[in-house]
Amino acid sequence: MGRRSRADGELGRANEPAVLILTSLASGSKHGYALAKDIEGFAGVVLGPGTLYGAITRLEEGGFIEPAGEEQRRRPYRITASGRAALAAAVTQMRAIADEGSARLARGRQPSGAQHSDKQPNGRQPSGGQSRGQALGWTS
Amino acid sequence: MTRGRRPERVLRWYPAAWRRRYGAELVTLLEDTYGAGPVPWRCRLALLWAGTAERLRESGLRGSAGWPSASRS
Repeated sequence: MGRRSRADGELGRANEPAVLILTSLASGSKHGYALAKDIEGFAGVVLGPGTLYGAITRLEEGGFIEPAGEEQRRRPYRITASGRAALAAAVTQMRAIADEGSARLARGRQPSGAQHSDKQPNGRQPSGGQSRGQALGWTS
Repeated sequence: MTRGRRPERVLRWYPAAWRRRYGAELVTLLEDTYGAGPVPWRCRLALLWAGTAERLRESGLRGSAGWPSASRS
């Protein structure tokens, strides 16, 4: 209902396990523990074993990662060409959102008469003899 | 080693096919993470949920299209 549907190949938000795993593997193959530690290091996100292997399962099913041999009992994974393409698309989307957020924050610091109203919902000016913008130092 | 200390036990919630493919890796990850100590109850609970989610997915009751995001531990 209110949940946003996701098309195949769309990675989702920056803190999604799939995005984090592909980002980690973009710099080289890693096994589960190395993945978890790397992600914790660059994103500050701790992926539990269940979450990590749930995401690895889906990513391998989708052809975005593949096993890269075996080291003792550990199996490293590497990103595939499809995985790189999906990560690039996700990064582009996240960058667009970040740019838009930055632009809106910058615009928010310079309110113009058309974009910023000092009127309260009841139509009155804020009390204190000056507008809210003046009180915050936005307008003279 | 007590019952709760054996990482293999937490895999019983996962489907057999999943365990054959990923079980040894996951157990190794648990050993790397927690060493010889017990797997914390929060992690066991998360693995219970993740394993159940895999079973539901295997039975078709839970969608697998798109990307992983539902099970978090």
